[in-house]
Amino acid sequence: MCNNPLKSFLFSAVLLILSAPVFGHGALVTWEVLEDSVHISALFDDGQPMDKAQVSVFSGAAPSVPYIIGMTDEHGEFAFMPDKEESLNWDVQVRLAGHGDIVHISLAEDSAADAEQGGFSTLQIVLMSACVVWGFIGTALFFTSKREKYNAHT
Amino acid sequence: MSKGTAVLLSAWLVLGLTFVSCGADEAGQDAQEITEDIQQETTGELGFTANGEDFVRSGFISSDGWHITFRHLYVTITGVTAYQTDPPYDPHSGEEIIGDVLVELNGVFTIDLAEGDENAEPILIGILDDVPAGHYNAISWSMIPSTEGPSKGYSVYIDAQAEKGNQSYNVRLGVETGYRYSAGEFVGDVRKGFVIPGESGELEMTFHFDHIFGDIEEPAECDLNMMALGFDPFAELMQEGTVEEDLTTLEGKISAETYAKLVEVLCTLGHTGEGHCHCAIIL
Repeated sequence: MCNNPLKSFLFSAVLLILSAPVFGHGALVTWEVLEDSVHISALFDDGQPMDKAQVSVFSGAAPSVPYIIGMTDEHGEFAFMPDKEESLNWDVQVRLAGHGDIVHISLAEDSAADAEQGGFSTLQIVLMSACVVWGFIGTALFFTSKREKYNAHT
Repeated sequence: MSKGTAVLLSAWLVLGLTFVSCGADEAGQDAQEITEDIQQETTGELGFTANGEDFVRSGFISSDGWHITFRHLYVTITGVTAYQTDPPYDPHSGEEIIGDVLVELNGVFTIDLAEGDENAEPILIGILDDVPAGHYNAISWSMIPSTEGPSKGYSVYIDAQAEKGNQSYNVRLGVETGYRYSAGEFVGDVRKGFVIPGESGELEMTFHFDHIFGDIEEPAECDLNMMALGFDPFAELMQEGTVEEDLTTLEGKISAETYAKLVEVLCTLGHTGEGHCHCAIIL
């Protein structure tokens, strides 16, 4: 180990960077949410499926310990149902024969769609609806009883 | 409807609404408390390791059948930086890492990746104290020519023995080029980069030298062996049992196609575990 002035030279040289986005080999892991489940597809760079690859699913609530451990099928696919109560963020790592990748899944958009309802639970919405309906009924009953009283007086 | 029924129904509705609203409030409060706990200002340690993997320490057989054992395999690295990024960095994007939190290990380090046996732990380069807690899910570093020692002038210096049948060569290969590697999260047996107060997190810079020579244990048509050079192109340069070259001398001795392949493959050396890097040639 040593310290030396090469560092300053290095950072000035960074300005002359010749970009070389080379990866050469590896895994390509993609995902999509279908209804309540997350579907993972894992391929090698050459398009071959990562058959029987090790899959580790991590919850955002406890991201260092696998929440689910599984294996891809012969098509390199794997599916799981994330518990949104546990977390809206999930990480999925797929590995096979020295190749691997990790993808980060955010279910926040689904949650945002739920939030568009006002952020209320179903039970709350039912009860609020019942209150509104009951308000109309109460108002109607109020005027009905008033008219009955008026008719009674006349 | 009688007045009593109406009052009773109203009471139940109000009570029900109050109950579920309070429940939601408590759940929200719990979530807020957890978030505050996570965001609480805390620090921990973050260690940085370098790993040439076991086949560098114990030797391996190249895709074209050469048994290669490394006496020394020096890499010189600097500018080691860890990041907390949200969203996570994707090295395939080809972009620079933009971190919400970043910490840097100062210094230039020349490491012998061949040190230790096949079961040796990755080599610890340094530890940063008092780094903000959180998940360091991206790392970048530069590999630059050394200014001293046995690998002087080279960012990578291989001192190895290559044997096949009755042929045996001393191999000394130097790489003068500098590289900047940018990686996302470590991909491996365990997740790395978590700094928890009271515990030490770790990040690893991994170097895949099988990309140069290939690996006979992998299928010949696999992408690794398809992109690797094997050892034959170097063996053809043998002089008195020794192959001693660097990129400058190799350029004039091997075919343009093989040289281009070598230059490309050198850019793929850097990984974090099995996680890929974006590579930029800087020198």
